[in-house]
Amino acid sequence: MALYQIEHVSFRYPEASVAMLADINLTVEEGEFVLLCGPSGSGKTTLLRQLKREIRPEGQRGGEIRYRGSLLDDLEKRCSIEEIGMVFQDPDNQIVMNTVWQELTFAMENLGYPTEQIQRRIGELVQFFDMEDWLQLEVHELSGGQKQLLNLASVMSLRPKVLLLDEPTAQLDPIAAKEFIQLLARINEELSMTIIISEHRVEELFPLASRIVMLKAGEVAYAGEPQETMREIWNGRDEFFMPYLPAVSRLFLGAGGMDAWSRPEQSIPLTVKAGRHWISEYTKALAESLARTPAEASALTDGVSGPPSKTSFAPLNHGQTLNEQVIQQTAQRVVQQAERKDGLQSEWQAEQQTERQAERPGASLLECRDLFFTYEKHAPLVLKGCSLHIRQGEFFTLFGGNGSGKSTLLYQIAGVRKPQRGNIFMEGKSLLRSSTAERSRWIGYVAQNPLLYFTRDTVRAQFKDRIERLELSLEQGGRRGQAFTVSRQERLYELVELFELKESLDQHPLDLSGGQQQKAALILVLLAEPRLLLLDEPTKGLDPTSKMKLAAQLEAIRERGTTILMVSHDIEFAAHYATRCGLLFDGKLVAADETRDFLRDNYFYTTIIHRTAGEFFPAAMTMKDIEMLWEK
Amino acid sequence: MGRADMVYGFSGLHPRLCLLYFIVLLAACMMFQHPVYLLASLLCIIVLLFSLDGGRALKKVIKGYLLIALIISISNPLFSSRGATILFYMMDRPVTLEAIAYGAIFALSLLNILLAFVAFNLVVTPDKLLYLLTPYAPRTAFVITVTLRFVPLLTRRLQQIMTIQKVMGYLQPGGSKKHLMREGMETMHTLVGWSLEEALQTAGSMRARGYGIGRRSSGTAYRMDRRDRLVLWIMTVTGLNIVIGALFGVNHYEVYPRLQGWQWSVQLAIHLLSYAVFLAIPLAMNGKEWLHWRFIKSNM
Repeated sequence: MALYQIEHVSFRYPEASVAMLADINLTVEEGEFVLLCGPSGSGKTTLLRQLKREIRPEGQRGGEIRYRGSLLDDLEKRCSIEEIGMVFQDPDNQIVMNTVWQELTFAMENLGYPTEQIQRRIGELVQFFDMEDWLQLEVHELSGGQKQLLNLASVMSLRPKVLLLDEPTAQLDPIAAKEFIQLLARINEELSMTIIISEHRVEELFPLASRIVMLKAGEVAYAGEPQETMREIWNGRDEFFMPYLPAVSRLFLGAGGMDAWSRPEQSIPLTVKAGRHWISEYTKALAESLARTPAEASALTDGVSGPPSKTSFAPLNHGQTLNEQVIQQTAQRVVQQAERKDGLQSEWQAEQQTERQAERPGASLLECRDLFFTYEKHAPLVLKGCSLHIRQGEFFTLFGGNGSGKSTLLYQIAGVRKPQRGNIFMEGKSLLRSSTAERSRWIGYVAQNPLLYFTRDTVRAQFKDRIERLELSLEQGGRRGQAFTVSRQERLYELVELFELKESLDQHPLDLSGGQQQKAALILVLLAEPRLLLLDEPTKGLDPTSKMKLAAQLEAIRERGTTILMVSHDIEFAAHYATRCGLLFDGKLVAADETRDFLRDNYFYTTIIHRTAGEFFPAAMTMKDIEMLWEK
Repeated sequence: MGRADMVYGFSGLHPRLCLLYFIVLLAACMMFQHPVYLLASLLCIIVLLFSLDGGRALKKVIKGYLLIALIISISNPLFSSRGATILFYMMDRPVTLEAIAYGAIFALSLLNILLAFVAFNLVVTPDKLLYLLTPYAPRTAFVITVTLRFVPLLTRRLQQIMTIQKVMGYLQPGGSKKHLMREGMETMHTLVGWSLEEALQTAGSMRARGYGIGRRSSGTAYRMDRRDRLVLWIMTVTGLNIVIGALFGVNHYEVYPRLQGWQWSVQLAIHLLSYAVFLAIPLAMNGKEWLHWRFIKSNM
């Protein structure tokens, strides 16, 4: 018997004109791992919430949901609570109690389990989740990843039959997210628990999923096994859902068009390992087929007699047999040849050079010189002689692990905290000596949480208030009548257009979606026309579609002369859009380079495409690069 | 939360026994006026505090508490002229020996109570208190827990909001009072809006995990073991002695109208001994622990 039978389910929020869900049909078997994908607002959360009675939102419902054959509405209260577990997105606000221990027992206490049973289950859970070290802590002492593990553990304490997860890793950093997902894989494998998860981290989840459900505007666009679904999307040339496929698979499918590798029995690689294996096989086969036609081969060798390119394939040649080496080298030559023939390499180089030329003349905008900082007197230093140089017009991305001081550095630049030593210069003028008002005009800071910016009841009122305040502060600064004060209304109009917020102007800021809230916060900051925009993880929790939009919007802002400094974990995003990247480690900037060079020299901190295909196409960082190759 | 350093000694006792101990101790500190009893209590509490956390909690509060005690002991003879033994006159008002003694006793008693509460907080930690409270007032216990979580949460949120206001250029040092008030209101507005939003989600998470469908049980278990039962016996025997003796006025001490001299009796000796044994229970338990570790260390 199927675990869930979802038949013709539709849902409409009260007072909403459009249905959130329309005619959803799905069957979920026991032990399945279902991944829900789709842009935000496509109804993922709403669908998940329909599956558990206690958290169904108010509204107009249609269709039937059967859980193990019986209607969800007829399910016994206790059974619904125990057997269907739900983990929400935000790690913080689903925790109720004060200590880890209390939170773990919360669900079991609610259901009135006897003490011995609670103790026993906790004993088991703590082992499974490896929580011994922090079991006695209070919740506010935990990291985000630990909080989310705690939420999962607390739900698991009731031994549910099915786990519903609503973007559980959206607020976590990549390491914590991977840990969480690995745990889900274990739960699914070892306990055969059914998992239905909505998430944007397709790279990690596609290999685990037994079924993919793609939602668009409240309807199921695709549903099926990962392999089938991917082929369906690719063969249908569905541009909209392509970004929702893992990068390695896109690489494969992109290559598939031109040869026999697209046979249906050939499974699509999902991971870097599988992708790499495929690429090496692929180039080998290509080389062999070329070797069979000697004329072509000789033509090839002639073709590559030119000077070796800067990005040679040297590292590959260690410890290989001669035969393999020959094949590899032939393959490389083929590729090099292909690149050279189409002038791709030179195109790239030319492109890079023009990019560089465009940026080099950019005058220095911000310079942090030997910053030292610690939050408390005897606490270890967070920044230890950190120096950073940002030029006019750049889009600089700062990477770094948790606690490496990324956010702290932003705080220093934004002026929230003063460094104990060192200085920050903005166009040669010391920021430490300038007033808060001046600083706030030069530098805009967008925090991770947009809710921090909202004080008014509508978005429109919020913007109006911001403009009034800005003008007031200018008056106080005795700089009235400056050119841009006049056009501030126009600027607002432009920004609202750019960020597509026009329809939401009369809504309450808290009623907007997460992405829209972020945009509203961005507008609030940008109204001051800052020279430098600081962004703290702007892509956190965004779906691929919104990310692409955000990138275009940031580009538009940059064209207007605002330099961007972004702190992020999102390597793929930076690889596509940033001009320079840096790595913060141990309180210092240990690497800073043009994006392409930065990623090429990195081993872990680089894109999936580079990790998969880097040996063969060293210059390729993003899908776009590879696509250019395939197309030629 | 102040975690006591020693969780195996007195703090490892069943929470009900800890509570019982402190109830008797606090009652004794309030009722007994006999100076010997008061001094014994003070000594015991101070040693207990040192054995619990090396005197850290004591150091934090002692200055303020001593000041309070000092003020009380000085002000009583200044305002009260009761008592037969007039020592001298100050501004035409008699200052009596009895008033001075009463002030000292009252101050000592108050000091004892305040310090006993410090020890109480170290031993009966919030989670133990909740365990004790849950059977009688489950809802109150729950509300207390949730509140405990929200205090640090809201504080952190407030800091975040103020950070943003500063970066946006709203919170400027040296602004006028009116300006600051206005910004403060904005901060509160944001905080409340945000917190309500989050609270909605918390409510969803609570419902999803079955809050409110029936009577809650407790996952925290404290079992009465042999040691607990032994300590309970000692506490019962000595405690009954103390209570009965006090009801018969064995340890009664007169201050007014004339300061009472030292009057020894067999009953008083037995009563005092019981009280001393009772007071010494935690000291003996913690002391044993201390010796145990000393012993292990020297054997290693």
